[in-house]
Amino acid sequence: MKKQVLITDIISAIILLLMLYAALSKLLQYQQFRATLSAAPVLKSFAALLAWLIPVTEIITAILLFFPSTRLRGLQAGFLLVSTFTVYLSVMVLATRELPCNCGGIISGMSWPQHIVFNIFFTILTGSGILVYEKRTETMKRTPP
Amino acid sequence: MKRYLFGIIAVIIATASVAFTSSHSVTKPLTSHNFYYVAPSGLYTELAVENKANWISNPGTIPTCSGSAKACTIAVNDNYTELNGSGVRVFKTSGNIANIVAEEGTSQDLFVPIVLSSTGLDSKADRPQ
Repeated sequence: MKKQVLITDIISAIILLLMLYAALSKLLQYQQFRATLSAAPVLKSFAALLAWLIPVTEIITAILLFFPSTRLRGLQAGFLLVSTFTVYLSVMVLATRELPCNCGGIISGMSWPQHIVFNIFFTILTGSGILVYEKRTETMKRTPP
Repeated sequence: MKRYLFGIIAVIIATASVAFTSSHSVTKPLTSHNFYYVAPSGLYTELAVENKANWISNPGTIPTCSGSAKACTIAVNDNYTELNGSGVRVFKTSGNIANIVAEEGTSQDLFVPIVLSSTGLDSKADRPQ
């Protein structure tokens, strides 16, 4: 039981770190991020909206992950976000020859396939966090007070 | 309080990492920068699209680029751009000089840049007629 709590806390913290880092990087380079979205396939029609919506959603997810009472919701939101990015990236890399990127930190040094693997890893990690959290809740229900 | 510990550590690392990479990016520019086509008198001729003076990095409003009829934006490799005295990113005039080559888009007499035939371009996006 204690081990499960520790695992979900660590996974939540890792996803929180990813979300907050991604959101702050985008907001600090807002103009560049918006311009990149304007050049991105499919997304370009919604560039102005997405340039705010994506970092704000990431910050909300980070806040949900911070508090123990909303951690499951945060993991679910994180899973949805990371898997959406992964699907979009995979489709675009397969369908488009040139894909603009406004990536920061270690991600900027990655190739597109490496970026997809990076995203898949975090999708699996977030999914595992949800499973462990739900298993923990089940155990709590079964354990007599 | 114990259950907030990892969260607090994550917030500190994220904030510190962003502070580090954003100051780092001042000295290490991004691999490309976007330039936007400002059509002189609404012209999208081959000569006008190939003229680098008609491409700027700081338009008043960033256009929405979709479609494939007319020139809209190009991502120019950083080896081919520099910051001028006013801090605006411009095409280099010596050393690595970008060259934009245009072809007719999906509409007659309206031109778009070609990445493969141009020099210094990483990608592009066009706009509809």
